[in-house]
Amino acid sequence: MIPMWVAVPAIAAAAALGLSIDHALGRPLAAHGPLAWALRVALGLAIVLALLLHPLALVVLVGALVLVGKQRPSTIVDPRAARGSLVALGIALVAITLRPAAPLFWDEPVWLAKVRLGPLVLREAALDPNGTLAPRGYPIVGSLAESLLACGREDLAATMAGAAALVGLSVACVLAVLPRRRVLAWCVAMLTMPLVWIHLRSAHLDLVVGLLSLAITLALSHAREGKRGALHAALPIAFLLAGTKDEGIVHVIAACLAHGLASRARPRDAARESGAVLLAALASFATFRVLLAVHGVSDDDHALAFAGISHAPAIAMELVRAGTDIASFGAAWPITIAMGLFVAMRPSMTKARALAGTLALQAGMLAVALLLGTERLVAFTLDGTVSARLLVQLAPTAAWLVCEALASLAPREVTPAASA
Amino acid sequence: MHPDPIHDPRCLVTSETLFVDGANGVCHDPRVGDPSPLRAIGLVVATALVIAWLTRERLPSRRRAAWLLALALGAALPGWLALLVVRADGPMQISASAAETRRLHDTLRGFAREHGCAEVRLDHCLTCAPIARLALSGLACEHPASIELHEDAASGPCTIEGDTLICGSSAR
Repeated sequence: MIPMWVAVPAIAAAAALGLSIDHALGRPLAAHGPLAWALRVALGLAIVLALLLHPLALVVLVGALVLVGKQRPSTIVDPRAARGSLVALGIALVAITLRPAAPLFWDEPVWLAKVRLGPLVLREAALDPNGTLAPRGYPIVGSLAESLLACGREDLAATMAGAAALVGLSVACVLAVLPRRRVLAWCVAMLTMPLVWIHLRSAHLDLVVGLLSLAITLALSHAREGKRGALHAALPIAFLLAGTKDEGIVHVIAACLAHGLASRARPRDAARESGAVLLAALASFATFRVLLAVHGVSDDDHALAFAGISHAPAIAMELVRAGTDIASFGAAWPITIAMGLFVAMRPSMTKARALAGTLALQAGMLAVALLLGTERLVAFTLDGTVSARLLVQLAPTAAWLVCEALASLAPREVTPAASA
Repeated sequence: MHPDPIHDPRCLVTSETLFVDGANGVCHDPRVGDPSPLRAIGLVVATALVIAWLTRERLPSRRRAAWLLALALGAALPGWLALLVVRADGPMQISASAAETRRLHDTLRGFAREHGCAEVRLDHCLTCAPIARLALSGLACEHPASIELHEDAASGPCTIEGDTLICGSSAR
């Protein structure tokens, strides 16, 4: 069993910091009901992580918050209907906790080895050009967060608790911004992909990326509807997402592009909203990249080398293999692709179309990233260790697309006034 | 092709195969066999069928959703079956699988801490590298002790010879 209580002091401290910032901004996060606490924890955590990374990252993140400004919250989610989300979060936390506190999969020890170093030593080791930290040059914000959540403890159980707490926090952030009426549908859709269950109960970061990506997509969707407080939720999540894995910035850019395309009637607002989210993302992504360059550390795995172009057909076949792996994803990907194409042909399904656009952009940009990557990345991809994980990153948004598309198919209730 | 995960030899039934590929798929070992073009055809056909189903305007939306849900849950069943009863991280086997990696980790970290730190030499032990990296993380010293990890280090015995810890087949 994972001793999740290890993370309680760090979560409480992050929540207190997040609450004070939320109050200073006019309590915009209160718009999300009882699960606003998850967003406050994310906000407090992001502030501390930015400070740990570099004071400049903190300045940029605070700048993004200032850009969004003070806002009184509007009701994004009905607090009276929060019971379903709380039950879903409870079940997820039980599932995350009920596993032995020992690594079971190859990459778990790789990530946990970073967590074990503690936040300050990890930062120093990541920027040491002669250091032995592996893999070299990978973003560290996720590992720093896990280390903070583990309260800097180095024993195996505590480091695993830190990792599990980050997964739990990501689930809570999504549930905080997810429309309450469809929480159950989204959970069921997620469970039709058995591999997601494995990642939920692991120290891998791909599901974390996927959950945070969906949270940003949903927050931008709320912002499009003029709901105040949505953007404040997106900023700390964008910071965490872009700093956790290199794929994170791809998810953020795709979500912002799709937001711009879906907001053609209000281009200035969309540009301001996307700009703030991108700024928060760059606070972690760009700051770390600049720090790597200044310290002479290279990210050898994720450099631009165009090595995948000559292997494009094989990479495409590998992606198809992963998407049609029935045991891992059931029929989720054929259903998602069909739903995406279906809603793309229906101009009236605006929300579902925007979602399909986001997912298509994310998938497309990740596929292009594989083509532009290094020989090592190509070797990993063709070896089968990349494609399924990328699909896990896309899974939460795919599950939500299916829910949204099915809801769009439902006949609208026609009120007498409307019919008249 | 192994449509039935129960009898699929690639379905990660040992803690070692689970460790190597457990997060890359529920059953399929990507290193075995090349992706077949039939998969691509299957994906296109399945997608087209779902679209055709969705565009049947006469069908009530609730029934459409129910059928899709049934299809999605039915297709996920082999994977869940594998998760619950076949894989080495199923509810009945997960403790034993975790115990192996935990034992090796604790042995390596305990030895390395006792000596300040340690250097590892790997000898055909596929799963040892990441566990050793985790076990030795954060430990540094002037004169590291030695650790030798042989093929079956995760499940085999460990012995100490002077400043060297030997785990696996040659540790007798």
